Amino acid sequence: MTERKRSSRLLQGTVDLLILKALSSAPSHGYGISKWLRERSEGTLGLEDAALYQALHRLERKGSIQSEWGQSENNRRAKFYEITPLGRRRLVDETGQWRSYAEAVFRVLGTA
Amino acid sequence: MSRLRGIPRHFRFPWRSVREVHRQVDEELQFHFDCRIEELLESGCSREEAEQITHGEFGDLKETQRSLKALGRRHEAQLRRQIMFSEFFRDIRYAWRSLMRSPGFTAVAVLVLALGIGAGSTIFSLVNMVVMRPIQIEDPDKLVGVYSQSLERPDRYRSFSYPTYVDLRQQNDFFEELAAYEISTVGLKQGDTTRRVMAGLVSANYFRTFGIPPALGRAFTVEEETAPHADVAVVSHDYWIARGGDRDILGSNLTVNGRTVTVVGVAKEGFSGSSALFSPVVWLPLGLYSIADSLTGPMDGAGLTDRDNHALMLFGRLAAEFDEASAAPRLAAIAGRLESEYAAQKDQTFITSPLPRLSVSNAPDNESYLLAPVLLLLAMAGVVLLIACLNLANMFLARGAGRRTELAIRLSLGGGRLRLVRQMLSEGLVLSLLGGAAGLVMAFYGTRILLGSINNLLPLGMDVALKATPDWRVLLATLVFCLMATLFSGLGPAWKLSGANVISGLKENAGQGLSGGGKNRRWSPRNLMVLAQIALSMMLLCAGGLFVRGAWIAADANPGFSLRDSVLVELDTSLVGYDESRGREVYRSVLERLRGIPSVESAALSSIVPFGSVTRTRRVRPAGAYDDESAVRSHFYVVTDDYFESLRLKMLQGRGFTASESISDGGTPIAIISEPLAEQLWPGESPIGKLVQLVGSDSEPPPPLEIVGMAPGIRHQLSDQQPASHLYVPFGQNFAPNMHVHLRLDEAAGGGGTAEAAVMQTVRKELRALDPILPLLTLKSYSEFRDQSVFLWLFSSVARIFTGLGLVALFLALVGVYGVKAFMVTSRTREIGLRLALGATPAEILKELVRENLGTTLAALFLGSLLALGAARVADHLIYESQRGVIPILLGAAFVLTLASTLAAYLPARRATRIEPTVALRQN
Repeated sequence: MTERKRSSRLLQGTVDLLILKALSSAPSHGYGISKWLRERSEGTLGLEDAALYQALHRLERKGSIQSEWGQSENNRRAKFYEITPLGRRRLVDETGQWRSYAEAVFRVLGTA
Repeated sequence: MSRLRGIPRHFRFPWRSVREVHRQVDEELQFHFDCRIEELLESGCSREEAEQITHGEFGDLKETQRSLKALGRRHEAQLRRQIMFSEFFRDIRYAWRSLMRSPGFTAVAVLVLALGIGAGSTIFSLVNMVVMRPIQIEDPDKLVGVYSQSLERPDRYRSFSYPTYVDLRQQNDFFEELAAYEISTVGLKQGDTTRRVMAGLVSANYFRTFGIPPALGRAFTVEEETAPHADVAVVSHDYWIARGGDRDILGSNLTVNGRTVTVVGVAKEGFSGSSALFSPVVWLPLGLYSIADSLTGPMDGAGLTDRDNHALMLFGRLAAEFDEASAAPRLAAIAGRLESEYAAQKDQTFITSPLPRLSVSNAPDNESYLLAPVLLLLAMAGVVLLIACLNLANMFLARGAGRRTELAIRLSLGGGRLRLVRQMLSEGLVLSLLGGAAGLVMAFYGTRILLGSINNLLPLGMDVALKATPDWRVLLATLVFCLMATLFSGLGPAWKLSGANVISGLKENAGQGLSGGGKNRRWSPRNLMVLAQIALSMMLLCAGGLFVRGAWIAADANPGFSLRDSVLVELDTSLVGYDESRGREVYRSVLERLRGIPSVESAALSSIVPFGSVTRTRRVRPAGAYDDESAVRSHFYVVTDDYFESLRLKMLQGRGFTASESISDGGTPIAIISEPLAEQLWPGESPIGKLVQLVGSDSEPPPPLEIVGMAPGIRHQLSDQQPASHLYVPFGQNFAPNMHVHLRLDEAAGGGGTAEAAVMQTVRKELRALDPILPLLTLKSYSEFRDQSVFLWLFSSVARIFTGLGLVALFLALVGVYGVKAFMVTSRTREIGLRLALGATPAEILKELVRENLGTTLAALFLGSLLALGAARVADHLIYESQRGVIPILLGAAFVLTLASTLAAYLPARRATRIEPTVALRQN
C-alpha cells in the first residue's frame, strides 16, 4: 500500500507526459516504456506499472497514441504503441507548460 | 501506421469481440510480467524474488485488469458505432447517387410514398389534434371533474348550485383549488353588429385552478365572483389577436348582452379551458350570472345564490398528498353532511372523474366512444400505406430485374448478400424519407382544409381550439411510417434479388424467375401484390362510398315535415340585454312585419328547431304518478300557434294552440304532445285532456300541463332513425329569449331557391328597420340549414376522408397495374416478337395480355368485396343505415376498378403489339 501512495503523488498528467516522451523517438510496448522510465529516472519516480498501463490505454482512447500487435525483440507477440500527430502536439504543449510551471515553483522557492 | 515498419503486422478486423478485447488485455500484461521476470532472472535474482519484485512494481493487478478491460469494451463499442455510422452514411450517399441515375423511377416512387405516408400522417395529425395533443393545463393529472350524482339513480347527474359549490370549497381539505364554471352564449357587440359568442362564467380561481394565469392583465377577484355589478371580462387570446393584439385592450370596454364590461385580462395563447376542441371567446365572473343567459335552459329568474339553481360545473386540483381514491370518502362525507342539512341536496352524492377532453358536461365521460372511429381511421390509413408499400415493392422488383447483371457481378465479386440487401434498403430509406417529407406537407394542408371547413359551421360562436400545426408526435409518427415503408417495401425484394442465381444472372434472360415465366406467371409474387393492391383499394372505396351514401340517406330521409319553401330566422333578444317584456314586444313586431312580406304565407316561432345543432330536453311523466322512474326525456319546444301549420303538420287529435295562447300568459298551463311521446306515456290511450308533469331538479315542481292536442312525430336529429318525442308549450305561457322564426313561403309565389333568396333579402331589410341592434343569428332556407348542420358536417367530413383515402388507394393500385404490365411486356419482348413472327396477329396478343390482367383483377375484386363487407360490419354502428346500399356500392366500385385496371393494362399491351418481330428477335 505504501507503493500505491507514492505513485498517487505523481500527477496523472505527468504520467501521460512521460509516456508521450518515451514514445516520441520510436514505437514501443508497455514493458519497453516501463523499462525506459525506470532506467532514465533511476527508479526515483516510483511509478506503478498498473498506473502506466491505465495511462497507456487512456491515451490510446483519446487518440494521443495508437497501438498495433507486433513481434517483440524476443520474438513474442506484443502490443506496440506509437505516438500520433495529436500526441506529438500534446507533448510539445505540455512540456512547455510543465517547464514554465516548474520554473515558477523554483522561482518562488528561490526567493523564499 | 507507416512507422511500424519492420514489425510484422497481423490482420485486424474492423472491430474486436468482447472476448478478444479481454484476451488482448491479459496477453499484454502477461508479456510485461514475462519480460520483467526474465530481466530480473538474468540480473541474478531467484525466480521467487523476481516474481515478488515484479508484482510489487506493478501494483494491483486484478483491479488493473478489470479497469483496462472495461475501458477496452467502451472503446470498442464507440469504434463500432463510428464505423456503423460512417457505413450508414456511405450507403445513403451511394443510394442517393444510384437513385439520381434513374430519375423517372425515383419520381414515381417518391410520389407513391408521398401519397401513402401522407395519408397516414394526415390521419395521424387529426387523431393527434383531437385525442392526443395535451391541453394547456398545468399538471393535468391532478385536475379532476367533480360531479353530483343521484344516489337512487347512479346514472343520473346534475350540476351544482353556487351555495353548494361554496360549501364544498370551504369544507374540503383535499383540493388545492376547486373552481366552478358554466358555459353560456352571450351577444358581443362589435361596432354596429352584435355577434353571438361562447362565454365561460367562472369562479375567481378558475384560471388559477388550471394553472394558466392570463397572459395579460389579471384574472377575477373573489368580490367579482358574487358582486352583481362586477362588470369585467377576460378575453381569449384569439379574440385579442383578431382585434389587433394591442396592449390597450386592457381597460377597454366590451358590450356583452347589452351591458358594458371592462376587459381586465387576456387569456394565455392556446388556453381553452378543459376542452381540446373549442374555446370560449370571453370569460365573465360568476357575478355576471344574471345577465348571461344560460345554455342549459330558461332561467326562470333563478339567481346564482339560490340553492335550488343547479347551474355550475365543478373541477378541482387535488392537493399533493391526495389522489382520486383517497379523496373519494372525504368528498362523499361532505355530500352526506350537505344532504342532511339542505332539502335541495337530498339524494345527491359527489364523485370525481378525470376531465374529458372533448365535451363539457355535468356528467362524467370517459370518451370511450372515440376509440372505435380512431382505430378505424388509423387502420384505413394503414391500408393505404400498405398499398403504397406493395406498389413500391413491385417497382423495386422490376428495377432489380433490370439490374440483375449488375447484382450478379457484385455477388460474384464477393459482395456479401447482406451488403446488397443493406444497399437496397438504403435506397428504400432515401425514397421513404423524401416521400415522408412530401407527406408531411400534405398532412399539414389536409388538416388545415378540414379545420377551415368546420370553422364556418360551429354553432354558438365557439372558437375552434384545434390547431393544425404539426408537433413532434406527428413528426415521430411520420418517421415511423417511413421506416415501416422502407422495411415493408424493401426487405422482400432485396432478399429475393440478392439471392438471385449468379450464373443465370450473368447469362441474362436465361431464366425468367422474377418476371414470372412459365405456367406460374399469373400467381407470381408481382401479380399477387397487384392483386392485393386492387383488393385493398376496393375495400377503401367501398368504405368511402358507404359513408357518402350514409350522409345522403341521412339528409334525404323524410323528416316527417315539409322542408320546401321555408326560411329560418334565428334571433336572441337576450344578446342585446332585453328583458322578457321587451323581448315579447320585439317578437310580436317581428311576426307582424314578416307576415307582411307578400310572398310569406305564415310565420311562426319556435325555441328549438329540428336538425339544429342545439336542443333542449326535459324529462316528463304522467301527472299523478309520483314515480320519476316513468319519466321520459323529450325535446322541449316553445312555439306559437301557427308553428304546426308552417311545418305542414296536422293535429292527429285535439287542437293546436290559439293565437291568444301564443301571445298572452294566464289560464291553465297547456301543452301539445307528439305521437311517439304519447305512445310512451299512455300506450294505446288518447292523451287529450291528460295531465303531464315536467320533472325538474327543483324541489318545488311546476304545475302540470294539460294536453290539448297530439301532433305527428317528426325526426329531430339527422341521425335519428325514428321520429323523436316532442313536447310543445305555447310561447304565451313560456318565454324564451332565443327563438327561431319559421317562414312558410307562398307556393303560388313560385317557390324554389330564387323565391327563398328574395325573401331572405327582404327579411334582412325588415329586421334592420325594426331593430338595428338585434343580431340576426341565422338566416337560411331550411334545406340549407339542414345541409350545414354539424352532424352532416361530421358525416360528410368522414365520408370525404374515406373517399380521399379510397381515391389515393385507387390511384396507387393503377400505378401498380400499369407498372407491372409495362414491365412484363418489356421482359417478354422476345416471346411476343417470336409469336408475331410465327403469325400471331397483334389483336390476339393484345387480347391475351388484357385478359390476363382481367383475371387478376376479377380475383382481386372478389377478395376486395369480402374485405369491404367485413369493413362494413365493423363500421356498422358508425355509418347511418350501412346495410342499405352495400350492393350498389360494391358493384360501382368493382366497375370503376375493372375499367381503370383494364385501361392501365391496355396501354403497355398496345405497345407490345407494335413490336417489330425482327428487331425483337435480334434484341437478345
